[in-house]
Order: sequence, then structure tokens, then C-alpha cells
Amino acid sequence: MLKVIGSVLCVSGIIILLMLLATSNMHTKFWITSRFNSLTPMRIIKFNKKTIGIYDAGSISVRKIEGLRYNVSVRVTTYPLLVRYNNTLFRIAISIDNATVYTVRKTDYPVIRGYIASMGDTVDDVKKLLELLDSRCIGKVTLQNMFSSPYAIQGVFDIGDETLDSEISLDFILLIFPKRDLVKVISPKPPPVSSIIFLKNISIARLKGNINVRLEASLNVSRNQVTRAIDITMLGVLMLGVDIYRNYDEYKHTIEKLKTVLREMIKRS
Amino acid sequence: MRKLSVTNIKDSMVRFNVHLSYMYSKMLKGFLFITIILVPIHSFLVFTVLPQQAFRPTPVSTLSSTLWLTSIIFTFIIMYLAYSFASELSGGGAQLFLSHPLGKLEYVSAWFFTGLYVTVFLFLLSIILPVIVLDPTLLSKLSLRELYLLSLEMIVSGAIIFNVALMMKKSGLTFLCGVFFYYILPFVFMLSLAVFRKSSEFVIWMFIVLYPYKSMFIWGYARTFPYQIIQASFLSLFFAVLLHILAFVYSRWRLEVG
Repeated sequence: MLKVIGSVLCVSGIIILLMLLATSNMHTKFWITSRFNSLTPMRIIKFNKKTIGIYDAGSISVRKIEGLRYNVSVRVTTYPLLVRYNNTLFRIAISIDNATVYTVRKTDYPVIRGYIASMGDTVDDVKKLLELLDSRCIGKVTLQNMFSSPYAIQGVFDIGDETLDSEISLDFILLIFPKRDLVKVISPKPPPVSSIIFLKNISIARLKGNINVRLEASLNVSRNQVTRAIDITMLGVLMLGVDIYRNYDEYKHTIEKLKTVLREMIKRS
Repeated sequence: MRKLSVTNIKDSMVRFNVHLSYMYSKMLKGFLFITIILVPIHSFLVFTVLPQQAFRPTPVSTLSSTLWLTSIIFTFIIMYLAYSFASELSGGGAQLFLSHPLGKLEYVSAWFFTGLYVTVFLFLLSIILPVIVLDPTLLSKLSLRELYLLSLEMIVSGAIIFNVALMMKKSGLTFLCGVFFYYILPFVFMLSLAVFRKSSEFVIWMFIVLYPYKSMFIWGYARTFPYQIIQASFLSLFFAVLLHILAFVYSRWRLEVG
């Protein structure tokens, strides 16, 4: 039995080590988990002729697994709105100037949420919010238009190893800064003059869409993992060694053959 | 008299051990082949799929995605071993071993031990080793219940196939029986459960006894089964023990090799 377990451990250790190195070098990203939420604003703030929409993009519990490098991919998809005014059906889009996703720890989330709920709508308040988010976030990404569709924006960022404890929960906060001319009329074109004031007053709160937060990971082999794989191999070698010591006669022929081959190799070299 | 029987048991154990060592040497290449096939597949799946399971709150199965392919390979290995056993019994190899001093019981026990338990052990080892290397804390996420039910299912079906090999001594029939028990019968049961909604309790119990791991998926998700799967699996365990006793009694009193 020692021979079987020893050989199996030895071979398994080598194979696992090779698989670790191969998977790590391939940089394959694999899906871990994802959250899909509709765009529901936590707060809409109008300041200095600008508007800002603050959204809860969902939360994910992350359990740190050795050697895995996590990255978060956030995609926001918005839909054109259908609005009826004066018997005319308008198809409109809300143009986004800038959208940023902040990742914060679950423990920091109530502080930020409390501030968002109680903050005023001055430039200083918004500045303070941005400072607070910058100081508490463990990662942020500005979403960019990456697809042919004008309604989908996406961003990807790494969560560094040092920022993750063994098990933590992350919350994602999305800030959307719409363009100054918020509403873009798709149809009818040109829109009737009588409807311009109505269209200008459409709030970002009516923005419809969804947020897809996707957590992915890739294997980045650590020194401990390599050591553990080598340990398994060495355990197998040790077991084989004990078996050879106990039943030397059984291995005598093989060992003699090995010795001869080695001697010939040395002579040739 | 008692001293004599204890000596007999000791001698029998020594002979069993010697034959087991011989079988290990004979099957070492096969075991290494199993390792070379299973370990890379399990390693890759453990590295890429198992981390997802760590995020699920209460998964019914943490290993199903890892085992779907390798369990098929593994059942083929058990079928092949039962096939070799039947070939040895019918082809005259067994007669050579049983001439003297190896007893029939020791010979059959050695086949059961290497064919069923060592292979199941190697299979479990090929799952656990990559997990240990990746992150030992993930071992707590591995469901022991799942590993136990899987091993039990393999052992119950394997014991049936080895019994067929032992009693029929026909390698072709043994292989067909393996295909029937591992691949056809579960579908027949599941079809009957799906088509005849009010399946008799006997069919349900038969399914649970023969396939405890598959039953975990059916009743583990639906939660309509009135008993705990683990409690019900004790029947499978009892059935496996009965199959072993049957094989040992048969080999002791009725086995004839030609």
C-alpha cells in the first residue's frame, strides 16, 4: 500500500504543480459571482445647474482564496424612455457625461449612506461626498462606452490582495453625472417647440436601466501553493523510500538498472 | 481450539496481505494511469470552479460541477476491474492463484479491496489534493456528506458488478451489467419517477438504496422526501455490507474456478 500511495502522491504532486503553473500562466479569468440590479436612485442632487444621480449598485461577499486575484467588472445599461406629452409620444435618451463606481467595505457603507441621505445640495456638499468616497473606497472605476450601443457603459478594476481580509462584504456605489443637456430626443425629430420646456425638465430619476456587477478571478500562483504541491510530492517520495528500505529485494533489479544507466550517462558526459 | 482459530485468522491475514501486495504491484500502472487522468481534470476544475462555490450561501452540492465528467471515467475503471476479475476467474488465472496456499476468501477479498476501496480512495484523493494545494481552508467548504454519498454509490454499484463477475464468471456479461447499473438503470428509475407521478414507495426506496448520491440531487433540491438522505443512506450501507457478505459466503462455499 505504501508503494501505491507513495507513487500516487508523487505523481499527483507533480501534476498539480504543473497545473497550477499552467493555469496561472494562461491568465484565464473565471466567473465567481454577479449581481444584477435595476437602476433605482438613492438620491438625485441638483447643484450649480448640474445634476448627479447616486445609485446603490449592489453588494457582494468576497471570501479570499489564496492565489486568486479578483477583479470587478461593472456594466450599466440604460434604456430609451417613452414619454407622452400633448398626445405626442417621445422617445428620449438621457445622456451620461461621466459614471463612476466606488467599491466600499460593508462596514463603511452605513457612514456613506448616512451622509448621502443627509447631505445638502451645494457644491461643497458634493465635494465632501467625493472626498468621503475617495477616502473610504478600496477601488473605483470610471465607466466608459465600450460597445457599439450608446446605452451600455463598462469598467473593470482589480481588487488588490492587500485590501482583502479573509472574508469581507463589498458594496458598490454608482455616481452618474449626466450631461448638461440631459435629454436627447430620438423621435420625433425635430421635437415640437411646445414640448421643449417639458423635455428640459425631465429628471435623471426617470433614467431606466440596470447595473450588472460581475466578480471574476484569475489564478496567480503563490509561493505557499508551490510549496504545498512540492510537499505532497516529497511525501510520496518519502513513502516510496520507506517501501524501498523495507522491501529492498523487490526494487533491487530496478535500482541496479538505474545505476547502470546513470553510470553510462556519466561516462558519456 | 480458540488458539487454533486465531492462528488461522492470522495466517489468513498474512496470505491476504501477501496477495494484496502482489495485486498492488500488478495494478500500480493502472493506479498511476487513473491518477494521471483524474488529477489534472480535478485540479483544473477545483482551481476554476470551486471558488464559485465558496460564495454560495447554502449549496446543495459543491462538487457536482467538478465530478460530472470524472465520475463517468471512474465508473468505467470499476467496470474494467470487474471485467478483469471475471476474466481471471474464467480464464484460468484464478486457478493458479488458488492452487495453494491462498484461500478463495482471501483471493476474492483482495480483489474487492483493490477493485473497490483502493480505487474509491484514489478518486477521493484526486479531489482532495488539489483543494489542499489551492487553499486548505476550502476543505471546510467541501461537503463531507457529498463525498460519503458518492463513495457509497460507487461501492454499492461496484459490489453488485463484482458479485456478478464472481457468480457468472463472464467478462462480457460483467461489463454489460456495469453499463446497465451505472448508466441505464438510473435513467429508467428517473423516468419512472417523472412519468408516473405517484410512483410506488418501493421504487423510490430502490433508487435511494442503489443511488444515494443521485437521490441527494433529486430530493436534496425538492425537499419533498420525508426522510433525511443521510439517514436513508444507512440502508445503502446495509445493502453494501449484505453484498459483501454474499460475495464472501459464495466464495467460501460455492466458488468453482475453471
